[in-house]
Amino acid sequence: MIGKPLEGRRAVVTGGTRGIGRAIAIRLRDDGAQVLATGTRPDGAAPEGCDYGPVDFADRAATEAFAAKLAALAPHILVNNAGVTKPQPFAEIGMDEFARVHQVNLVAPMILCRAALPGMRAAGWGRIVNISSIWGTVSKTGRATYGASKAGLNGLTAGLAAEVAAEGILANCVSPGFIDTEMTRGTLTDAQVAALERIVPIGRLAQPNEIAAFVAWMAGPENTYISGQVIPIDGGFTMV
Amino acid sequence: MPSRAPPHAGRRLGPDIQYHLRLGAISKIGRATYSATRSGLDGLAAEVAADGVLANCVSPGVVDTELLRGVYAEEQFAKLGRSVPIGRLAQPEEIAALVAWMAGPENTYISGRATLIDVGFSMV
Repeated sequence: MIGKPLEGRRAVVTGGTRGIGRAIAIRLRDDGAQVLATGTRPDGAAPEGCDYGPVDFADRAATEAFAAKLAALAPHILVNNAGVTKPQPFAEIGMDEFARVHQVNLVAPMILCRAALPGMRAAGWGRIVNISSIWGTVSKTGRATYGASKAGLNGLTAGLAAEVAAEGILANCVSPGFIDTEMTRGTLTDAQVAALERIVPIGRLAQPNEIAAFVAWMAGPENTYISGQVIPIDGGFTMV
Repeated sequence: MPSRAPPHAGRRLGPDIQYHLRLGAISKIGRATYSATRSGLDGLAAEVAADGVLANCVSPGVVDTELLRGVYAEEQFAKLGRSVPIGRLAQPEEIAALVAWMAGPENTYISGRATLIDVGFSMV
């Protein structure tokens, strides 16, 4: 292939200033795309070489306003990566928190996908990669709210994929397992990280760039026939 | 393109030897071999993941091959294409593109998966 695979493509990566999202934004940039990365801080910054768009997807009105900007940008690639989680016992789930997690993890992606469709249809080409989670497929104590939102994202993506497949638009979910990020290291003790590493067949956490590599392939010209799928990238965790 | 795998990916079996092995299986959806292949693959993949060996299953939908064209009449073939959400059958090269990525240095964390490459044939 001559040139970079995403030369001439415009991409939006939500939650693109840290962790997996940052790695995805950098990889898409390196592959030649013009990237807009979002973050929640008004004074935040995107990775070098990417544009920045501040937006808090927990705010419905702010999400709709950003969707209008996204529609005007007409990205060829949309990566819905922004997400929040709040592990808590089922009996203690508050409805405000339940709604907030779903607003960020499910409603916002739906609104952005809908906003991106006209541009992708006009181009006759589009790639939507929604970052789901292993907790949308399997679960454990405290994960009901988050799992419900990600399972919803899986279903939303499959339904979208069925509708737009014949228009050159492919939509998929990628489900990361345990990722070695600042947030993970800041939340868990070394002993807890070591315990996680022991239960993942590959024996270690993933690096964000490993997730980004697959997302870039799914979002690129080499993926021409995968759509409506939920593909775990988890070192084998969900198979055991 | 340099590999972005972390330096410790794969197990060293000697002073300067590092093995990266990719195993793959092609299985047809809707066939008895699919479940058997996938079940067997999960067990294999679980055992070898820590040794730098990743094992996955790629499951194509209906692919436009000489073999298939020889089996189906023209009209049946066209009907097959219309039954897939994308409106056409896959070309072998499209399957090969995913297999090449899964078998290559960029895949350092996907293992034990059966990935459907059928544009929704199995979801509708």
